[in-house]
Amino acid sequence: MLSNILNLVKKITPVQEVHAHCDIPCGIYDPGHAIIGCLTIIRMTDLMNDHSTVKHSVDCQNEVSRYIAEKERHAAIVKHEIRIIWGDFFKPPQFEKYPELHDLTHRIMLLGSKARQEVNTDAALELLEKVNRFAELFWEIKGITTKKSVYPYPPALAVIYPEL
Amino acid sequence: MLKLSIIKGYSMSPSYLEGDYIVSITPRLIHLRIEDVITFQHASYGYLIKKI
Repeated sequence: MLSNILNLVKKITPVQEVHAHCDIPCGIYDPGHAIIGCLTIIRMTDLMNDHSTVKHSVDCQNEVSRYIAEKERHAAIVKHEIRIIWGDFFKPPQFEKYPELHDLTHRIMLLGSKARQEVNTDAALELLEKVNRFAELFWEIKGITTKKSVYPYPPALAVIYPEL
Repeated sequence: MLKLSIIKGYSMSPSYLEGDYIVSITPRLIHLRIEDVITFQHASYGYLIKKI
């Protein structure tokens, strides 16, 4: 009903259009931050698992607390970066052409939360796999080919790179 | 002063869809703060809506 009233108002009097955007329209989008975030989550999870048999000490608690903090921070970055590309860059024609985008994005959100809440290597690896797929689709939409290469330092996993 | 505007485009933060209506108020005695949402005219891009 409110919408009908507003549509009527719009017919009677001109309504100013305001352009919505995440930022000043810069056009800069890149899933690279999200990929690095995934690698960090995996690395922090591995480091925490390395401590599972270590005798508890203040030093150990300090180290693990720092790993947790970084894992939290990077899981938030992954979710934020993917949401921005999904919400601001992709448009309806792309959702029609790539129908998996909505489900893929939602899966990334769920896995991001899981990897954040738990010390779960499987969830972290699946998160990277989904973000890699997301990056592949993103660059395909941009008309840029991609390659999969192993990152040159731990956790040394394969990630998607654009061939620029 | 109250002003009715309509959203063009998409935004995640603040979250708007194309066609959403917003009512904005021109604050004369209220100071703007971080996290407030404002509409303003940009020299090149026209009217924009942004979170401070």
